Amino acid sequence: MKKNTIDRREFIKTGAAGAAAGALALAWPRRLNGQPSGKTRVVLIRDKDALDESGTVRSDAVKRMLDEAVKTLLHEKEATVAWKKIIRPDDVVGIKTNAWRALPTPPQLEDAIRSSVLVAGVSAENISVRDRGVLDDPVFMKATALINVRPMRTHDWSGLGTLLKNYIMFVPDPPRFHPDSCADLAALWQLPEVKGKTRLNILVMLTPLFHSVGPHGFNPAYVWRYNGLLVGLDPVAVDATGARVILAKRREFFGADRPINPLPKHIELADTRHHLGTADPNKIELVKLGWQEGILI
Amino acid sequence: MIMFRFCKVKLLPLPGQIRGCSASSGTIDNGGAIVHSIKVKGAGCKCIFFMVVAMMPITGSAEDPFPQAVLDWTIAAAAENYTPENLYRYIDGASELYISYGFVKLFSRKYEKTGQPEIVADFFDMGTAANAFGIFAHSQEKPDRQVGQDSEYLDGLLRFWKGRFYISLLSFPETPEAKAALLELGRSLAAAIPENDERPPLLAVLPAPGLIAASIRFFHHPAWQNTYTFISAANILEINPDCQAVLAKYEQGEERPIVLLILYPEPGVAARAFVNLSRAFHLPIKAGAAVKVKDKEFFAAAIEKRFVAAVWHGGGTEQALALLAHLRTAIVAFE
Repeated sequence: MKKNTIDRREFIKTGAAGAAAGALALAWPRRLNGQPSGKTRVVLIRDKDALDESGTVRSDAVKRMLDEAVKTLLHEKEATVAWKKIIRPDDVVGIKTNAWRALPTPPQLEDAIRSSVLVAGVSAENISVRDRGVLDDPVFMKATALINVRPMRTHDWSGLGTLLKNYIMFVPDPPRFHPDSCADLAALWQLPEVKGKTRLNILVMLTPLFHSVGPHGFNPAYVWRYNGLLVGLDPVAVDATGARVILAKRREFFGADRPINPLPKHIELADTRHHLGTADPNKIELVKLGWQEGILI
Repeated sequence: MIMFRFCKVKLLPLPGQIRGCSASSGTIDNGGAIVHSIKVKGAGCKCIFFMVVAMMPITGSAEDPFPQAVLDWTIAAAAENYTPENLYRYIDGASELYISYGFVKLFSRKYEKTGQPEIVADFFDMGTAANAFGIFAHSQEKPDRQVGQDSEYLDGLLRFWKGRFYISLLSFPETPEAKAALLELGRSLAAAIPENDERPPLLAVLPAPGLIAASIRFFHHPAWQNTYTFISAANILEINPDCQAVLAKYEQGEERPIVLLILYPEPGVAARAFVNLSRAFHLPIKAGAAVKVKDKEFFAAAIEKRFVAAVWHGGGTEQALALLAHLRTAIVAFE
């Protein structure tokens, strides 16, 4: 019988990702998401040189990483073919980023996504890159396709700032989704502005924030150069995998298991309650590309 | 709508009050509204306010605890004040963390200096000293007592608490000049707070030997029950603002056992919580029981009057029960 809660023993067994299966409910990616293994594919790609010495993101590196990840995700040899598999020339594309001041979506990555969407044949006026204000953005309001991209970070109330949470800007009153530590963020994905439109999810793991302190949540002591991107069609699977990286980093840094606080329960409930995707590591095919040192998972 | 009220209120002790309750007028806010107030000198700083409340956006007040300058940083003109109703506009989802600790009011100011990062100064009224300690301890790692009652400095962030106030001073990227300014500003703000309240008395129940002081967490919201180990995604312990909950770790050889202590307003609630907790960990509801809950982790729990106490210990059932026995003895003495 399908559960809609988080069981303590299974949580311990699988970490933040939790357990239980979930039917993928994303309309467009459904046919793309089926892997020969029967699992949901998530691509983790890392590049030791993704950042320069000062910490600035290298445009050429992230473009390469992105294309390589999309090719692998969709079993294609050419990046252009892969992008055309998820974006049609007549699409209107909203690239939903994240503008959190301390750790925004890198503009170099936004540019890389935009250029790939252009290569897929979409005209420039039908592409918008935005976080706040999507409800006032004409492209987002008539979008037929969304690309969801944001950095992963710990969050004082939802546990983690995730791809699932990144659609909070599609509601005018975000606090409506705050009860029970943002347990039901997956419900955002049923909004008419969003439902069935997400073609690609990119969780930025270049310099993730693995612990929060103070009212503004950010401290440079708690970020590290992981130099990665997690890419997938199922946002729940990508978030659950990102959560495993954060948990592993916390264990390494604090020298003991240190649960994410509060629990990022919205990830598992996106699976077990909202059936948006799968959070179960046993149902995720994780493909690891590039730099392996310090990969943590 | 304009309302008139005549009431006694306890509010942020603004500098006028701090220095002796001098009579003055000003503008503060209350629940998202502007409150025009006339302060009347009163004994012991319990002032009576005659307030005209108008539903308008909050604005800053000249009466705030911030100095006009610190070292070579000068205060920016804009003052921002927030209440539980609008705190999310300032710190988005993180507002719920502060509200879960009883947040009442935030005064926020910025300081600027050419060629240096700005300083963001956040001055939280948490309503009680217990809440101020709680929100400070929520993320403490290596606290000291440089500023206020407990403080912690980490890479451009100075946090401390004093009385019922929690203060965060932030400046990124860290520079030596900015660090000096943060500490100076912290000392100035701490000096403006006359209160020097005790930590929550409940902490005295924690047995002292082996206690890792920096690990103490004090809260009354269920979101924080899983800080050190996963207990439940639901509020099986019935933690609410009428409860006081403490989590802490101990150093016992190689082991770092975890202690949970909850004081309930009445024994009936404690009894229900104990049953729920025991079921979650498959603990027989009988005296002296302990169970293995996962590899190298043993669990024991007890109910003692209005308290529920629990121990997670890697050393074995005997060690778990021994620490629990210490807790029960301390509870009896406390009650």
